Amino acid sequence: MKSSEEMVKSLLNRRDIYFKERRKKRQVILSVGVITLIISIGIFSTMYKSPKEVIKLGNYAIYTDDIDLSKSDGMSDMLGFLVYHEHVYTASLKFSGSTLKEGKALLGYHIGKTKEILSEYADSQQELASLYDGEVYKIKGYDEEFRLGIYGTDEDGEWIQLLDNYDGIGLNTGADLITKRLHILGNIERVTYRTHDNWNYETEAIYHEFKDLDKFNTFLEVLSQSSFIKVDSLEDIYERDVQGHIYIRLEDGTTTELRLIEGGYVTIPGLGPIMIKMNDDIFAETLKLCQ
Amino acid sequence: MDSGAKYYKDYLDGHDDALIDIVSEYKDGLILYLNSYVKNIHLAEDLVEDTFFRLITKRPRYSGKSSFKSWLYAIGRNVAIDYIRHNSKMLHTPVEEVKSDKLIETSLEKSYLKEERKLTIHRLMQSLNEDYRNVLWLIYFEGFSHKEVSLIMKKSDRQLKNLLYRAKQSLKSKMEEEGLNDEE
Repeated sequence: MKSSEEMVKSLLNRRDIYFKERRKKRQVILSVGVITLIISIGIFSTMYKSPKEVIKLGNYAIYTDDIDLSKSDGMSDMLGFLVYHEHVYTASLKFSGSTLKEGKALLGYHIGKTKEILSEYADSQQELASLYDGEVYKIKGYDEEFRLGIYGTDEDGEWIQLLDNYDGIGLNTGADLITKRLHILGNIERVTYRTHDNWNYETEAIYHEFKDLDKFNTFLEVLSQSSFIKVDSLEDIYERDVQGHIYIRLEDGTTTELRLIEGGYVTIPGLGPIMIKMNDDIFAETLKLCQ
Repeated sequence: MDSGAKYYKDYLDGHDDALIDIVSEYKDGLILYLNSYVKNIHLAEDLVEDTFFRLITKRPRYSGKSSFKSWLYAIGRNVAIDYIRHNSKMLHTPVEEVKSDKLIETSLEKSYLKEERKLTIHRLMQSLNEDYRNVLWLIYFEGFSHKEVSLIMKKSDRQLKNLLYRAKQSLKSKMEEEGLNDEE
């Protein structure tokens, strides 16, 4: 463990490097911008843009990491999970108290009871093994290969936990998630956002209404057509200054969170280093609206 | 203005020395708090350093609506949650490292908590679920008010009240198993 003095020394070193690199980046961006402008003026009329080839592995450009519970030593007890058809579903939305009724309306076909409550070294092969103790249901309006729900009770009352399958799934474009799995398009009830400063530094969440839903739908359409990418350094992306957090509430009571980060990145909880990269102006416009 | 807020203002005014005051005052408690999220003392220490790093590079505005400490803990919690969200699938702690980590954790607990009874209770808390551990830690070990804890943990007053009740019940049964009484 570092002493306070050692930590401060490390912090001040990191700070100096951080600001130096930021200055360098700004200079590079400025230089590249000037050079690009000069070149563009010269060759614009003869420029031909070939479509980018997507390198595909099997049928999809990208696959999420497989979740192996037996290797999640010390961490699996934080990961609310359910094993179903050899896939590990992880916790997403929870309904209880005032939202319980909405959650109950989502419960469909009863699959069975969770096997046992496990905290560590869970067996990924054991059907219906779960951290939760409850009854497993299909969720109305969603494919069982993507989303399931568990109904349970505790001292605080009834609850419904939704769990989503991001275990080794294949993705090409945003549509594979936005349309195919989450059914967002055409089902939006309300869209709100939090500024990044509020999300990051304030203890009290302040949500603002996203009033221009037509513009937001255009954003979603472009998002659906944009490709998934896997980034090498999450830290570099999450530390960027201009960000926005969007919450899409659907008519069925579910909510999806999108985090927009300058540079065209859109992250969705559960996907780790895999995110959608947008190049369209609508991304910049939407991000600007979240400031 | 509490002392943390004063140190932070001094830092923003260009006094790097104030950083040592902030780090000395809050480092150990924040490490133990974030350890209750990530259950890895080295990772918790890195996340605490990242929390301070965020303060000194992004220089966020401290509004003074809550104490500096609860504001800092809420930022630390965001850093930890962000990390967990995006790394939980990839995290492994090799078994051979667990023992030495435990020794370091125990030594930090001893220097921070000092009293034997507090140490025992803190150890029993480790077997509770994450929310229970966190609420008990913030209220009984860090001395935050219920209002401050509801802000840090992003829970409503009612949710916090229920959570605290259940956490105390769970801890009570753990203490009974160990033959301890539950006087506060």
